[in-house]
Amino acid sequence: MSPAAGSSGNPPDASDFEVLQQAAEWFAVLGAPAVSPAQRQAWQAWRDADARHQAAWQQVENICGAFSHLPTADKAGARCALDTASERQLTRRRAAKMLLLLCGTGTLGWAAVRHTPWATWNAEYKTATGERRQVMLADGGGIWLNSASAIDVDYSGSLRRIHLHAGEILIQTALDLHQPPRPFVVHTTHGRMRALGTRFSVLQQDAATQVTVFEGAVELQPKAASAPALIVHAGQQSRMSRHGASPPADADSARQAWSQGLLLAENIRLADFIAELARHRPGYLGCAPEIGELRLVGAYELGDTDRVLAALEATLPVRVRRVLPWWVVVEARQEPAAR
Amino acid sequence: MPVAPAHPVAKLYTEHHGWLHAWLRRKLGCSNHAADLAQDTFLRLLSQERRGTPVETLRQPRAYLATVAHGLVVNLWRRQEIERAWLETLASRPEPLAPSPEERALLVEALCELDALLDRLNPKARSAFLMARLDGLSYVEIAGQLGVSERMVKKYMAQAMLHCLQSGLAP
Repeated sequence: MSPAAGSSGNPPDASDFEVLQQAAEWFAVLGAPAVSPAQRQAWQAWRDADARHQAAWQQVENICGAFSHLPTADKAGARCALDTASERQLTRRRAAKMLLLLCGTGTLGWAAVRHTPWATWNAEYKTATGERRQVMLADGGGIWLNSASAIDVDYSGSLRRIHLHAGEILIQTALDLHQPPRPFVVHTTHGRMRALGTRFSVLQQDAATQVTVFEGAVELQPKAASAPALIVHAGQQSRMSRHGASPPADADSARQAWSQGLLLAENIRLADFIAELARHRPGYLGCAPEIGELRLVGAYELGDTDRVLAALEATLPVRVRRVLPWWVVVEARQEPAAR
Repeated sequence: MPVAPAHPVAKLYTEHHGWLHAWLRRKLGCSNHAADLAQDTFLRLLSQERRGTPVETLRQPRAYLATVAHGLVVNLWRRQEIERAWLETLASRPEPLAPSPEERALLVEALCELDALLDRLNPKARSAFLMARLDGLSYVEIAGQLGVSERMVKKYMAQAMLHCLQSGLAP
């Protein structure tokens, strides 16, 4: 009746998780001092209702067995040894986490965090608009956070996981000599990316996540269970929505320049350039449609966006109008060019 | 030569075993342990192959082998740490117990298993669970010791069991 039940060794799915949860609840109920006959009957009914319930309960009993098989005389000692070993591990992990924090954020970094609108978020690392930051990971890899970005770094026993909540990151994974066997994955709203030894950037937008791979390869797995995984190789990029990933196209190599504080324009549309620049400025920065198709070449320093705007005025037939201090529009220059 | 196509793991073995052994020896400072762990690394690969992860698709076999081997090194260190903690416990006991080497090995093995089951469980749930399973305390007694309600203890117990069930499933 239930084919899932017999297939031992397969990864558990969501409904299996629910069964485990129920089994754990029943274990807690039956461990209490006064278990009523009605409770006992309810538990039996639950257990006998489904082969998966029986299998889960068998596991509960196996786990209890692992504890009760210790010789009685040794139990107190076992408890003591487990506690000591666990405390030492906890201390070590705390120290490692502290180290990670210290490496990643200088004093300036902390000052900036307090002023960002992200401060209420739980993300471990955040950047304010216009701020960029490098975070060194404990395994020797590094993550660069672009403007207005937020990530969680979650290294567990089985996985090195990064949650990208907002913005863009560039990741350089390290040759994983100093870790237990753990894959490196990045999660966004739209899906999961698994690094296959690599340097790549991930930009989370409203409708999709853009992944650009500079070295190695990355496996994309959109959220929707039916969507197939896609491998993107070095020199390619893809856009992944919840429902699927676009076929790999040539990567935009300028995509990683921001990690050096540069915005590279390789013959791109002014409208796209302004949209990119806007991510690095607080407030609104817009581009009038009539000049959006102008083309642009050059390397611009992200550290001073006002200077970038001045440079645009100097080289293109545009003017920068400051409607309000935080409301800036780039539009066509009215008067004919001087020369 | 008329040789059947080598098993992919066998191919990896001939190409990388020497390097892996040397790498482990440097890390552990002990040739015997290094040889054991190098062997275990390839065994682990074989069992992964059986579970359906083909090793031919490995893009960077060395990086992968090093990652697997490092995990085993960490397990070994953890094991040694647990054994040390156990010996310290024995030493601090008023009445000296002298378990035989086999008993000791079995017990350390069992402790490592329990330690792996409980790894990264929240400390309070862990304490509650161990008090119940190893000290044989009742929920009321545990609640008193941890300074929480009995309901909370029940919650901790479910949480701890779910954690164990899930780590039990992990490969």
